[in-house]
Amino acid sequence: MRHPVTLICLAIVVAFVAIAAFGPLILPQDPLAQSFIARLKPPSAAHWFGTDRYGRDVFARVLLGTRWSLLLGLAAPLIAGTLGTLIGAFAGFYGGWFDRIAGRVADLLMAFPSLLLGILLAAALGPGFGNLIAAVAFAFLPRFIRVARASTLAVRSEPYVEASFAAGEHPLRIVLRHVLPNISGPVIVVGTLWIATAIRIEATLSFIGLGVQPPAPSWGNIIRDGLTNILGSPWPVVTAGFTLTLCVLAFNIVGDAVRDALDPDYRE
Amino acid sequence: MNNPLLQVEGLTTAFRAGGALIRPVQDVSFSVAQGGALGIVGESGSGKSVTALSILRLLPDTARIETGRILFDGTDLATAGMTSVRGRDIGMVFQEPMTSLNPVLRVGDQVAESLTLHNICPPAEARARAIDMLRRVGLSDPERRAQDYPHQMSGGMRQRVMIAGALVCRPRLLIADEPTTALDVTIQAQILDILRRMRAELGTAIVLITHDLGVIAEFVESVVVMYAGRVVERADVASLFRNPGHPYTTGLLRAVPRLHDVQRRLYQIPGNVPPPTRFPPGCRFAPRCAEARPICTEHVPPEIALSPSQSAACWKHTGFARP
Repeated sequence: MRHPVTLICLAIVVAFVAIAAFGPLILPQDPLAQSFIARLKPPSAAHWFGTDRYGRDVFARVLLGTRWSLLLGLAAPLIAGTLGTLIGAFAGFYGGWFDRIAGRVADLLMAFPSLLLGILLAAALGPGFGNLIAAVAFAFLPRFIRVARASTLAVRSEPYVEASFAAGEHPLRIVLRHVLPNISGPVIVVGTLWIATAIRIEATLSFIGLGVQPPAPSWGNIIRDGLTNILGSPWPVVTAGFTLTLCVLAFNIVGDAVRDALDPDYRE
Repeated sequence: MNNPLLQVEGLTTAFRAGGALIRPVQDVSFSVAQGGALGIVGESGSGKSVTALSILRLLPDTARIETGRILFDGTDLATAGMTSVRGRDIGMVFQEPMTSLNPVLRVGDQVAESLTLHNICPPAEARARAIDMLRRVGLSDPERRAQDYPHQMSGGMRQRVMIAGALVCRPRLLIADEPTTALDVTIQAQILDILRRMRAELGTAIVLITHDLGVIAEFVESVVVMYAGRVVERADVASLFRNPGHPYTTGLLRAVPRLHDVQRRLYQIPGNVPPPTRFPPGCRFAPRCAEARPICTEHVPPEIALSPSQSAACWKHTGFARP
C-alpha cells in the first residue's frame, strides 16, 4: 500500500473521480459546439487534446466522458457486488436447492467472457446508459456469487456462527450480522479489481455503438469517432485512448493494492 | 429434586454418513436438578459433544434425533421454539474461545446481543448489563474492554467473554463443552472458579462436558461416564472416585497422573474408542476390558444399581449372568 507507484495511481484514481464529479462544472469549452474552421486540429493552448472532425474540443469531450466511464465503472461492480453477495451468501449459508440452482447458473454465466455477455445483453436491451449498467452488472454477477458463496462456506463452519445459533439467533440475522461482515473482505477485493474491467467494457461497448450514444461523449465513442479520420488527425484517438489506458491501469494497480491489504493469502 | 430442570430420556442421535446410518449417541439418559451440576466424562469420540448439541438441537443437517425425549423444566424441547430457548433458557460455552467470537464485532456488543435478541431489555440497558456481566466474569476495566475486538484479547479473556455472553440472559442451564481444554492450566483454574462463582450467584445449573477427571472432582456433584455413545456409569462424585462401578471408569481413574509416585509409568487403557461405524456388539468396552468374559461381547449389559446414587452398566455386577 505504501509503494510509490501505488500512491501515484491512487492520486490518479482520486483525480479521475474528482474530474467525473466536478469536471462538467469547469469545462473549458462546450463539448458539443462544432466549428468548421477548427476541424482536426493538433493540440494547442486553446484545444489541449486538439479537435475532432466536427471541430469539437476533444479535451472537453474526454473530460465529460470521464463521468460516464467512472459512473459505469463504479455502478456495475456495486450493483453486481450487492446482488451477487446476497445471492452467494444465502446460497452458501442455506445450501439446498437454492444453492444448487444459483451455483449452476453462476457456472453457466462464467462460461461466457464478461465482454461477450455484456455485448449480448446490451444488444438485447438496446442502447442506453441504464441498460448498459444493467448489462455489465449482470455480466459480473456470477463472479460475486462465486466469491461470496465460497467465503460463506468458510465462515459458516466457524465456531462463532455455531455459537450464534446456540445463543438463539435467527439464521437470517446470522447471515446479516455475522456472515456478511466477515465475507466483505474478499468481496471488496473482487469489486475493486472489476472496476477497471467495467471501465474497459464500457469503452468497448461505446466503441461498437452499444453504449453511450453520440453526440454525448464517452471515451469509447470518441475513439470510434476519431478512428474514421485517423489519417486526418490521430489526436482524438491518441488522447482518449491514453486517458482510458491511464485510468484502467491506475484502477488495476489500486485494486491490486487493496487485494494485498485485505487478502491474507496474497500478502507478501 | 423430584422435578429436575433437564431430563434426557433414552436419547439416540443418528447421522447419515455415506450410505450408512451411525449412532454416536445411543440410549443416553440423565437428569440435572435445578441449580445442580452434572459432569459428562469420556474420551474423545464417546458422544459427549453430540449429546450436548442434541439437547440444543444444533445438530448438522445430516443428523437427527431418532428416539428419546429431552425435557427442560417439564417441557419437551422437541415442541419448543428452539430459538427462544437457546441463549435465554439454556446458554452454551464452546471449546474454542479463539474462534467462538465474531472477529468483526466488539465483544461488548456480542455479549449484549442475546439480551436484545430475546427482547429482555432495550439496547442501552443491554449494554450496561453486558458490562456488568463482563465485570462479574473477572475482566478488568470492563467498560473499556467492551469496546475491544476479539483479536485484542487472549484466549482466557475470550473464554470469559463467551461465558459472560452465555450467562447474560441469566439462563437456568449452562452447557459448557470442554470450556477449559484449549486454555493454559492456570487459566483453566480461573475459568472453573468463575463458573463456580456464577453458579452460586445466579443459581444456574451446569452441565460440564470434559475428559478431565480433575475438573469433575472439584466441580460437580454427579457424573455420567460415557463410552462409545452409551452411558456406562452414573454416580455421585464421591462414589465415583472411591468405588468406581465400571471397568472403564476404573481405567480412567488409574490413568490420572498423581503427584506422589512419579516413577510409576502412567497407566493407559489399551486400544482406542472405536468409531461409530464399528461399535462392537454387546458391551462396547469389552474389547479393551481386562475383566471381559464371553457374555460381554454378546449381550449389552443392563444398568445395575449399586447404591441409590450409583449405577453401572457392567455384567460383573450380576456375576456375569443374565438376570
